[in-house]
Amino acid sequence: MTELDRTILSAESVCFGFERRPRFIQDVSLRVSPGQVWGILGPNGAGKSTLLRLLAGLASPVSGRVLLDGRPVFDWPPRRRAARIAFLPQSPPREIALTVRQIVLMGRYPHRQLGLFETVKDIQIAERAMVATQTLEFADRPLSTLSGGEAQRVHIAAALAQEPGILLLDEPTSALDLCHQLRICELATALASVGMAIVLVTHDLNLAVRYCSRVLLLDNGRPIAAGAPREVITPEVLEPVYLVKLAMLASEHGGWIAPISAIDHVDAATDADSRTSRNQGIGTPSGGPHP
Amino acid sequence: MTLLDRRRYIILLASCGAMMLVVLLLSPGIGNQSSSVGILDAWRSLAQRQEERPPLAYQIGFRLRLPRTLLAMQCGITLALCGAVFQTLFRNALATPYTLGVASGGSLGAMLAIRFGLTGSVLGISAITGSAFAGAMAVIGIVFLFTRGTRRLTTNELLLAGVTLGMFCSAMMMLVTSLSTVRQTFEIIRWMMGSLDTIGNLHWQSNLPLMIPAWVVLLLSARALNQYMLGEDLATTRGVHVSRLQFVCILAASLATACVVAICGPIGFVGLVVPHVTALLVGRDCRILFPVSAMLGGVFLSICDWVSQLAMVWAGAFTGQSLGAVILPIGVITAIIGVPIFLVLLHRRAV
Repeated sequence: MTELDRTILSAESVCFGFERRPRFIQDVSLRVSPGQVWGILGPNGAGKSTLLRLLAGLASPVSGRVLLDGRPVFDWPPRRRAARIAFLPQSPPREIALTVRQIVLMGRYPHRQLGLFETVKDIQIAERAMVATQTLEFADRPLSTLSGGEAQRVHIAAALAQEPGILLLDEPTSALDLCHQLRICELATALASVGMAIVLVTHDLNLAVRYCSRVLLLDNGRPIAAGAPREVITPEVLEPVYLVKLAMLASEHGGWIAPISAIDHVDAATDADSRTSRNQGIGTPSGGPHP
Repeated sequence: MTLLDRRRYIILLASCGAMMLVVLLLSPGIGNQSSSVGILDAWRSLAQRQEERPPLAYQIGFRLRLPRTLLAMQCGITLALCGAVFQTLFRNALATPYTLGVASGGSLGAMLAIRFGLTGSVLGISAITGSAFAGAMAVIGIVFLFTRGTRRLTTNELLLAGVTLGMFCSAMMMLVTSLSTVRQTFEIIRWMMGSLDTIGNLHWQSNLPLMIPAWVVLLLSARALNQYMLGEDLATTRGVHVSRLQFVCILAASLATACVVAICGPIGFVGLVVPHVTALLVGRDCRILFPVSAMLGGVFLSICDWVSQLAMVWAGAFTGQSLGAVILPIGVITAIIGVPIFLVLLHRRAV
């Protein structure tokens, strides 16, 4: 195990809501240690992105706590927090007239209090980040001329240039082609192996099985299951949450989960009942998302 | 910004600074007063300034023309810089320093002073100027009341609030105009055209205690505003205190703009187009965009002011008739010079 016991980022029974949905995230707990890759799974609107924003300190929980190095993450001075946590939003901006190199260098912001210019060290770090994400080849093109997937990799490079201890990625592979999906996932495992903690939101179950060390399954703002990917990513656990018939296919590379058909409305009603009972069973703090 | 860019940056700033210097060196020789006083006469007269009665060339060159150009330059710097800041802050290409209603509030203030015949001055500030500044401040105050509410406004909502307030002020201006005499109405309309003549009894230095701090604050915000271009979430997680940045930038830009409006009226166009022209030339990195835009704005408005003074003199010389030394409204000149330049640049960029 590469995992250290030390928890650097944790959510403790976090609840959060919006004006129209006052009790959206309910009682979610999570402990992130260096070297872990956490995958947050769940259907649309399950609260994955909201949880990630809470972890990033972009919102303050209504009850419960999010702690970074033992201190509420929302209370950290922004610049010091930025030196610890990097965040990639789900749809980072693309219509920006700056070049790729400028965008990646902007990731160095929290490390320089004063000084208008990047140092030689900043430039080297940005260059390494661009190599790692295969973005160096279009380093001098304006971001606005890139495709969606290319722009996404540029923003990942900028997050890497921030040199964080914790990387929070909201659907980092959603716009990428197959090759770059795998490369970004391999990059994530490589970074984790040198002690970075990574939390990523994803819809790709098979990537989560292969590259995550822990997964948390959310539905309707509640934790449904947490643990090793092989235990959580199974048809039995996922079907009532995603309302999809799933099959586990055997292959020489291990089991592959494949969607078969959407569960239609009539069945959905009965499944929803079983889902609630399952919630009560698994969602309690004791069976909850502690590794 | 790579090392290569650093050299480019210094060269850019130095050449803009040189342009400003050239404008200031030329300024004592250019103006509509007594065309016989040329640049050389003016600078030569500097040697005789200690005499009991300084020569006419000195009085015209250094008591009228240079201060006027200094005023034009500081107004141009402020408008172009604040325009660049607002366009970045509101992520809107149409934003100008007047977007939050500063100009309308100032105009309403000036108009009320004219309508009710307020004259006289306090501490060298005329009633119209003071009233215009108060009007601009009132609008900014109301905008800030909105931002301090229970729910923080998004930048778009802030824009809407500012535009709406501006519209309200415009409506009030129509009301006041309709209740004014013909003479007052004429004075009001002339004021709203914007002019560097309104300097009256105010020295060009009197703005600087407010403007220079504002410039410094805005220029220092460039790096944070670069992050802000990525969106509020990303900027926050990069270590930018977003609400504080918005507050400080809006406050500084509005105060500086209010000074300009109070003294010169709402001079249009500089704050909209100079930042765009600059961005087309040097790119959108705020660290370059802000200082270059500010300096080009200063140069641009100074040159426009010369043209506004000399256009009728030239026209008179061309037609062989004496048309008098009428000063044209500077807003007209900024548009006549600026629009073609901007459209050509835009076209070249698009093709």
